[in-house]
Amino acid sequence: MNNLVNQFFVPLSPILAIVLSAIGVTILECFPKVSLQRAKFALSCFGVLCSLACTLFLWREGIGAPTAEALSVAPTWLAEFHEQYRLDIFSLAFFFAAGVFTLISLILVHFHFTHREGPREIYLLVLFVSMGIYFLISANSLLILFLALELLSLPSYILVGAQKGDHKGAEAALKYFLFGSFATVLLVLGMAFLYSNYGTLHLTTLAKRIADYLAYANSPPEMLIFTLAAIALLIVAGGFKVGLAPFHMWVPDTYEGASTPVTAFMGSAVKLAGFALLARLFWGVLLPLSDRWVVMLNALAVVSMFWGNLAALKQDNLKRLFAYSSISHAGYLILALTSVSAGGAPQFEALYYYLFTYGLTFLGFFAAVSFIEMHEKTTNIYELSGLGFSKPWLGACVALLVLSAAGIPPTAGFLAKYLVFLEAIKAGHTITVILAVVSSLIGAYYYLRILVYLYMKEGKTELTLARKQPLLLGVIVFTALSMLVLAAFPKLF
Amino acid sequence: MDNLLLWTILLPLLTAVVCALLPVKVSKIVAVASTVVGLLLACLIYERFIPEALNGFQMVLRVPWITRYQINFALGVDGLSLPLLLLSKFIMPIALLASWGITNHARVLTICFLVLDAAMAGTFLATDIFLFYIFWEFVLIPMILIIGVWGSSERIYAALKFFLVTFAGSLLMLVAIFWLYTSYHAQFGTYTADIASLGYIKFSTDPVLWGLTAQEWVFLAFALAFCIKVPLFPLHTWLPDAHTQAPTGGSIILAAVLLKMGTYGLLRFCVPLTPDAFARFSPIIAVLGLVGIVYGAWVAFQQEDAKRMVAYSSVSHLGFIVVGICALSPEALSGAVLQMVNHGLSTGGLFLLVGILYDRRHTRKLSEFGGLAKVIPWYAFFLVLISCSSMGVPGLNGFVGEFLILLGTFQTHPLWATVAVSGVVFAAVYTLVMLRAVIWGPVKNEENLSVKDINPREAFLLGVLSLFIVWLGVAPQSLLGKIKPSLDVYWSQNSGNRETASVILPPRDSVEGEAGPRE
Repeated sequence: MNNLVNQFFVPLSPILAIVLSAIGVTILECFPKVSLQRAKFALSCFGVLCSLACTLFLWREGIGAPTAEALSVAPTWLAEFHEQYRLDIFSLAFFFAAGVFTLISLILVHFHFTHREGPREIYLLVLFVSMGIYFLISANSLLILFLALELLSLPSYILVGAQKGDHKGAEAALKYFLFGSFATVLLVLGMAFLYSNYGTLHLTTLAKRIADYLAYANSPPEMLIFTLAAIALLIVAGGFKVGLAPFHMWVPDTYEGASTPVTAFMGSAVKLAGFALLARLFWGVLLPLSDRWVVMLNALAVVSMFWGNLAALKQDNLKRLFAYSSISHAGYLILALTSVSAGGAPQFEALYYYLFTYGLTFLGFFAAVSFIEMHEKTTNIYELSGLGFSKPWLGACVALLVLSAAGIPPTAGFLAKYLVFLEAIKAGHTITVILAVVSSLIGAYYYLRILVYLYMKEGKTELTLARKQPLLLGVIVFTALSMLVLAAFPKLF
Repeated sequence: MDNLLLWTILLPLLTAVVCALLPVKVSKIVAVASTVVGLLLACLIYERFIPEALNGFQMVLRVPWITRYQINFALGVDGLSLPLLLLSKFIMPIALLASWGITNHARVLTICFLVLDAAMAGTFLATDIFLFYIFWEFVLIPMILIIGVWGSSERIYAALKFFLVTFAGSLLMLVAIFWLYTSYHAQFGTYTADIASLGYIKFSTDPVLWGLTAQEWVFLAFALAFCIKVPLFPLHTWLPDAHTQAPTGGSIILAAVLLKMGTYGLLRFCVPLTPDAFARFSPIIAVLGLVGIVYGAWVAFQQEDAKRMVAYSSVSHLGFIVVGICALSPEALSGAVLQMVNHGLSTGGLFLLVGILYDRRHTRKLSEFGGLAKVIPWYAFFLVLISCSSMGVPGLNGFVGEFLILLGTFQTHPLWATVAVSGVVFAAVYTLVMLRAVIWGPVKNEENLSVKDINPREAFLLGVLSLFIVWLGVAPQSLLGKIKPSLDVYWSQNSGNRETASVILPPRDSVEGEAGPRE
């Protein structure tokens, strides 16, 4: 019994907490006559909190200080579980981020849908997506990876169209669904190529076989061609999932059409999952071939940064603006992914720090957007006019979040960019970094525009608080403060 | 926590938090009191600064921050940063008091000034290149708010232009910082962000791109950031807009301190870290500085708007400092550092005076004024005094700095000095034209008859400024003596690997006499 607990329940506990709370919420769904939204919200939050606690416990128990070899080294008792499930520093760190993002998203969802009509199952959907993210992060098999991706994608298609009677939402959901399933098909094809060549679905075995293949002088050359084709397919599929240009067409419409909390969830947690997928595949499996994919991904990263930042210049809708900005951020994150020097270990910290701070920024900003949307019914940038003075604390928080998104000191967003650029230079991508720097200069303009509206334009009307929203304001203040705290104490990671 | 340097940064930040919670009127008083305490702290640092201790930074503070990358929260003060710290701490209460009359969102304005105070102190005191960059960029945020919220009609345009132009320069500097950082690792096997240690990097002499070596690229990236901030001639276009549109307090700080961050950066980074590239490019930069001297003066002469005139005069004056830096002889160097302080005092004073006039007449057009000396004699007195300081009349501070720069430059580059001297003449021309238009002659405009003279608050501010203007003019040794040994060490460290230092220089002791009272 004790053995079972140690080998099964303890390593799986972060996922189990989410699964159990999802089951609980499902049971609550069996009573359609009673309004149990509050109970469902509380139960979901409780589940995510438990999962966070389990993650922290495992972190303390199993792994001491984080090391650079996050992907390869793990203590023995935390080792692969039935060869399909992997618990290492990478998983735990991403579990933590995913848990925090899900928790904040739940709060936003709760706030949003208590004021307007939405599906009753919304918490359940969020939990399902979150479950998929957890499985994806810790998958050690191509099959589990694919199943987890589907588990997170299907509910998120529904989430995007969750707002009843909203044509934009329906359009967004359809677009997201079509592009998403297309990407999944490409991903499966890429995985099939890998499987047919190396005869295994197991990621660590696959990595070993690829390394062996490259080391072996007389290996058949057509295998390399298939592997490269697989890499190309995986890049396209992964690019779709994380919204990397030129595979980003769905991002602006989906982010704009989805209801605000769902956009926040997509931009933080789902994006995190996309990068977990890319990191598992490219760092975990395809690292020996890094000289092949680094150039490809870097080129896409540069395109993404410029496309996103240039397109965002003209946007007046805050959601669309942040959609384009998230495309450019995907470029910076890819730069963190490609910062592997020949034979060097991947730089997990830079990617993770960037993902975590960016996710928090995104969530915090969308909490503010949600707040404004409730009072003004639109998400236009003009609604921010004069907010810096009519609501000084809220305005200051939004300003801080925007500065962090722009990567201006002394916020965590700057430190994140700094670390990513530093690692990229260390890996020898000097020209890419110069281009990235130029694109962040372009980006600074539209972030600054938000600042201009906040402080330098006269507000039309004074925002009045319809009712107290302690949770939502708490989220905004928490994320804004964390931008300063994370910058001052990066060692928390 | 007993490090004085740390408190020069922490105190304004803590006061800013306190001010956010206090009523508006109280918060203003608290802010002024805090900046005065900050000034006293700076004076205490000046007092404890040991000129004879020649081994680099003093009162060093070093707290590990991002240990993985060897980035520290490191502060220190030397002969280069001491006068600028004093200047920024001295200007801050003046700027706050100059903005006393602003009533809309006064609390946020106060907070902006306090945050700016902390960021400026941090910029001058940081001895870690990463920390320096953070403070350097951080300065922009409160400054664009000050320009964009409390400025005049074109304020948003000016704020955005100011931000984007300076941000563009700094970002390339960031890439250069990364490059230095990684090449230190490549050569020594460890990481460091310590500015002094980064100077040990050996650059290869092979060209990397377009015939320029790595060192030259690094130099150009740094120099671009700093030259935009100075601003050097073709990069100066943000300055007239920003200075003119900013509220009086903002203009004072922009002119007095923010521009000096550029010249400080040149001295702190470009000269020690990339000496060979500096030797190669310093003639170009000096020539641009000379063009700036003449061009700034000429454009200032053409201005209708008094504030724009003062703004362009800054381009001209900063040209002197840049030429002094490029000459890099001990006299020119101390002259440049001294002139940074002098320009801060005199141009800060001029912006204050223009602001006072604008408060009363709501116009800055020179043609609207005339004959004000009869109506507001005290104002006229201070205007004449501070203008004289600005154009370098002997006995006032401007003369000492300019004289030292010209003297030092003449020793190494006589031609530069010859051209630069013309700037002194031009300065006299546009300043005197301005004085004639504003205060001399008959009162042509009826409205000018009812203008009120300066009130006690303004008189106090102008009086304090004038006191230091006269003091530094009569006894520059009080400041120079403190920083000269440190600057001499700086010079001897950085002139060794320069071919241009072939000109025989007089023994350094003889400079003491030159820098003495000129009465």
